[in-house]
Amino acid sequence: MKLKIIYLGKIKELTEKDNQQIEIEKGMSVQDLIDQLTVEYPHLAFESFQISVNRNLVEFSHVLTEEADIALLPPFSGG
Amino acid sequence: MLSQEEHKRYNRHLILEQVGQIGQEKLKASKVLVVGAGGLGCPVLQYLTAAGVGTIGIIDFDTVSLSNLQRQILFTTDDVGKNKAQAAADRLVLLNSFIRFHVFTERLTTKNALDLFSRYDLIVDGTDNFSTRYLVNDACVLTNKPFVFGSIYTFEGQVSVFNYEGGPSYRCLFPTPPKAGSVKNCSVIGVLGVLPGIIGTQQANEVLKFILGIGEPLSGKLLIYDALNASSMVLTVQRSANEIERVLQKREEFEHYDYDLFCGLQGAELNQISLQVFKTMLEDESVRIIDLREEWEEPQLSGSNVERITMSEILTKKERFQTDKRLVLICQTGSRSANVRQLLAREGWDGILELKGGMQEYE
Repeated sequence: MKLKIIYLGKIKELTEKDNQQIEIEKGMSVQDLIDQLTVEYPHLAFESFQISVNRNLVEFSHVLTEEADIALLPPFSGG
Repeated sequence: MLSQEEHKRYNRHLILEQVGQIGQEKLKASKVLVVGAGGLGCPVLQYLTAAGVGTIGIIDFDTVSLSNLQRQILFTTDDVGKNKAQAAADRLVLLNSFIRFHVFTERLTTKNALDLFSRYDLIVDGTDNFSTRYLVNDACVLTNKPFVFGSIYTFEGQVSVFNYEGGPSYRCLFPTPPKAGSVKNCSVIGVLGVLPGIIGTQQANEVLKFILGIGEPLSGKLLIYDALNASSMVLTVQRSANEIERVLQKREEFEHYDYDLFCGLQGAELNQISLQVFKTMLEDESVRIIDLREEWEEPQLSGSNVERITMSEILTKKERFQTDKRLVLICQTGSRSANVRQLLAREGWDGILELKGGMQEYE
C-alpha cells in the first residue's frame, strides 16, 4: 500500500526532499516504518520527531492499515 | 471606559462587530506577558501594543546585537548593546502611550516564573531555546495559564495555543526535549528575516482572539507554516493526561528543577547531578536510571525507571546503553559511575549523567 511521507524542518534537510511516496506492507507499525526509513536515511536515528498519520499525531506503536499521508515533525527551537 | 482619544485610535476595531466597544475594553483590561523580545516577541509586542492590550509584560535578559536587526523589527542600530525588554518598551511607548509596560531585564527562571506568570492572563512564548520552552510550559501548567506558542526553523514555523481550557500542553506534543545539540537555533543555522514576522503575527492573532473570545483558538492543533512554498498544514494534538499530571506533581520541586540539565545543555564538567535533581528524575519515563551496584548494596533504590546493570556486566552488554532516553548512572560513592561514564564517552555516548557522591548519601 502507498504512503506519502512529508518531511519537515531539519528532517527535510536530512532526506533532501519535501516528501516522497513509498510502498509498504499493510499492518506495519509506525516504528517499523521509521526503521525502514532509517535504512535509507541513517541520520534519522539521531533525530527527535513526532509522527502524524493523516494530520493526527500518533504513537509509534500505531499500525498503518490504509493509504495515508505521514508527516515527520521535529521540534523547532528558534524564536 | 475608553477616552475620546482611545475611541479615535481604536476606531477600526470599534466599528468591527466582533470587537466593538466591549471588545476594546476587554483588550484594555487584559494583561499579557511576552517571554523573549526577539524575532517572535517583536511582532507580537508591536501588534499587541497597537491593538490596545492594556498591560504588557516583557521579559528578556539578552541585549540587542547587530545581527538581530535583520528580523527583530522593534530595534534600531542605536539600540545595539541595550537590554531587549527595555529597548522594546522604549520603542513601544512611542507607538501607544495608553499601554502599561512591565519591563523585566532578568532571565526567566524556576525561581521567578510562577510568581510572574500568575500576574497575567496569558503568556506568549517567544523563546529561542528548549530549556526555556519547557520551563514556560511547566510554569503555565502549574499556574493554570494558557500560552501562545511559536517556534521557527530556517523557513518553517510552528504555532499553537497550549494549556487552554483543558487542552494539550507543549509536552503533550513533544514529551521530551531533543537530544542535546541535535537542533540548532537561528544563530547557528540562519533564518529568513520575515519568518518570525509571519509566525509572531499568527501568535498575536491568537492572543487577540483569546482576549476577545472570537473565532476558534488554535488549541489542540499545531499550525505548521512553510515560507518557501507559502503552504501550511494543521495537525491535531491530543491532550496527554499523564504529561500534565507529571508536571503538576513536580510542583514542590519546580523551583529546584534544572531545565538546562533536562535539555542536556550542561557543559562537560556538569555531568554530575545532585541528589536533589536526581530525585526529580525518579519515575520520569524520559530518563533511564542505571544502578551499577551489586544487589547487596544499601540503600536499595526502586522506581519504574531504575534498572540494574552491574560493573561486571558493562563490558559485555554495552549495547544495553543504546537508548533514546536520558541516561543517569548511579553507584555507591560516585566512583564506578564516573568510570563507566568516561568509558562510554570514549565509545561515543555523550550526555550521560551520574549521581554526584553516589547512593551513600541517599535517604
